[in-house]
Amino acid sequence: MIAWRTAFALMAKHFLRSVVASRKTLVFAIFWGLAAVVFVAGAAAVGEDIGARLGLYFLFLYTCVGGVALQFTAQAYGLAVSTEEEDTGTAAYLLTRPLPRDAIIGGRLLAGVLFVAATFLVLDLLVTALLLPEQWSSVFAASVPIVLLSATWYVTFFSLLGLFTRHSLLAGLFYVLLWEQPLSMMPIPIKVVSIKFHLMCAIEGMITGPFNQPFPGDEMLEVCDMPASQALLVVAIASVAAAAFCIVRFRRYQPTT
Amino acid sequence: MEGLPHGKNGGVRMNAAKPISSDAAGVGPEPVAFCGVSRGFGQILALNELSVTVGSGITGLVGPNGAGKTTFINLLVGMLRPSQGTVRVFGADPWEDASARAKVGYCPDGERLWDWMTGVDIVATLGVFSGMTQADAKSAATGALACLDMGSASLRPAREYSKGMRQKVKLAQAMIHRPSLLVLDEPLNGVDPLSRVQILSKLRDLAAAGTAVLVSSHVLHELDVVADQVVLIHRGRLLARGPVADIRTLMDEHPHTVRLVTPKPRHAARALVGIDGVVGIQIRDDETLDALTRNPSAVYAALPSITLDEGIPIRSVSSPDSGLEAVFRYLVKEDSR
Repeated sequence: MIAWRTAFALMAKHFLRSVVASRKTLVFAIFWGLAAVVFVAGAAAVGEDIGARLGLYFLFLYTCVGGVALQFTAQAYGLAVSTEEEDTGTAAYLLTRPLPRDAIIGGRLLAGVLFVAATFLVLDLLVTALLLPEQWSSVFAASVPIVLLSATWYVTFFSLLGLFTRHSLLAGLFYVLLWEQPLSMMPIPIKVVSIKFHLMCAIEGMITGPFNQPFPGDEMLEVCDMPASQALLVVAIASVAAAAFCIVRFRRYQPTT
Repeated sequence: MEGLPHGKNGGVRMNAAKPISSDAAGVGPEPVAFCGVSRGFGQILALNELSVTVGSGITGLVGPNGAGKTTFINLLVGMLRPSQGTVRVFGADPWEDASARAKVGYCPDGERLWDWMTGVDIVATLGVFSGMTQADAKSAATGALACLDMGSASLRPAREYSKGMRQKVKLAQAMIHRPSLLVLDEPLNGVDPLSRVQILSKLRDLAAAGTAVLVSSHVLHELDVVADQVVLIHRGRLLARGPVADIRTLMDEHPHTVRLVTPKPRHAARALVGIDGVVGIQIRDDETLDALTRNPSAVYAALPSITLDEGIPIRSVSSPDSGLEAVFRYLVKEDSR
């Protein structure tokens, strides 16, 4: 039997390799590349103080498009963590090897989180550098932790969802109708695990207040009436719980094909 | 099926001989032991209280579509868990115990591979996943693929592979870590005739070297040639297990056919009628006749005297329904009644 840590590392590496080589990643890379070009060109044309000059409408569109794309990215790779091998018919190669099952899902989950976090991080740094250069000095203390935790949360959430349904459309509908919608009616500490809530904070932060207040400065999410430390705690707990549930569920997982 | 011993699960266990058991030799537990195994999928019962052991040598797993062969294999390789009963591979539970899975090499049905990897890369990666070092896995993968005549194609991405090439990569990955039990699900699908011969020969070599081999295949005549024994499953139950010839011998109510080619079929028919066990004669054409007998040995014993004493020349003798295909057809038909 292969040691747990070795198996974990092997699975993480294998998932990252498959992600980098997949056609899906190529499509996402092209999309993000085009978005970056449009964004940089737009920012260059408008000049300084883009938030104030373009106003709410542009920023809303930008953050919504970015947010939806982020959701798709997280969904695509989160679901891939738990469903890709079964979808491609290669799950048998992993499940019949002497690899502990929790190392299989754990390694893949970590790799998925790292990949999506890296994507989100690039976007966050790009936004800050081009749109809000005056906040660059505080970006690593403020929005970066939130971005990393968001990526962790979204990927674990969708990985878990993938263990219940392999259909991305169903997972997406579930997310929008049965997750985001009820969450929007919840009180603040709970609704912080909603992508929409993060977007609202980002929009408001860009327009009315500093987006990158040094963490743990509680002013960061004050625009959404919630201290940053509290938001981070909720997202962290939700992520750990989802990851644990994911591992427990995968231990009993039996492929249907 | 009267006159045949009935198995615990209602199936007919036709192997008269004692099942091959390495336990008896003090070597260790059976490669595969299913005890009262049932497995359902919703309302469908894919396996129904199946009890069977698979010993060393080459064992063919046979059954019509939907018989439960794939479920049997998936339980055996640790992908599924039984709803009831126990599955043991070398005495350990393959679902719970990774060390049991380490002894198994599995070649799944279908053509799926990681298409973005090269053949060598796939086989070496799976060698590493089986506990080999990177260097050992790489050299073993190169050797295994060369042995299967993959040549330089093994360095191309799998997306460019033909069906036969994919099959070879799948076989190589199953064998790379030198498993004690090799489980092959339709390993000859899409493989060209020359490669089939190669693969079957390789399986024989592995079996001779002590590897237990379980092969599920629809190509019954090829299984017939290579398998030391067969396990026949139908409707999730064990129908028969043992060497094909033994099973056939026990199928008393289906007379054996001995086919003779002779220029004098009518004379030969007259000579055969009185032989013990002969229950019917069918003259197929001007040169061929079938003798239906419950005692084929008596017919074979009488042939020299028919030729020498009665002057009836016999050009060839064959037994068209003693093969696995005929046995399989009889048993499934019987079980479906």
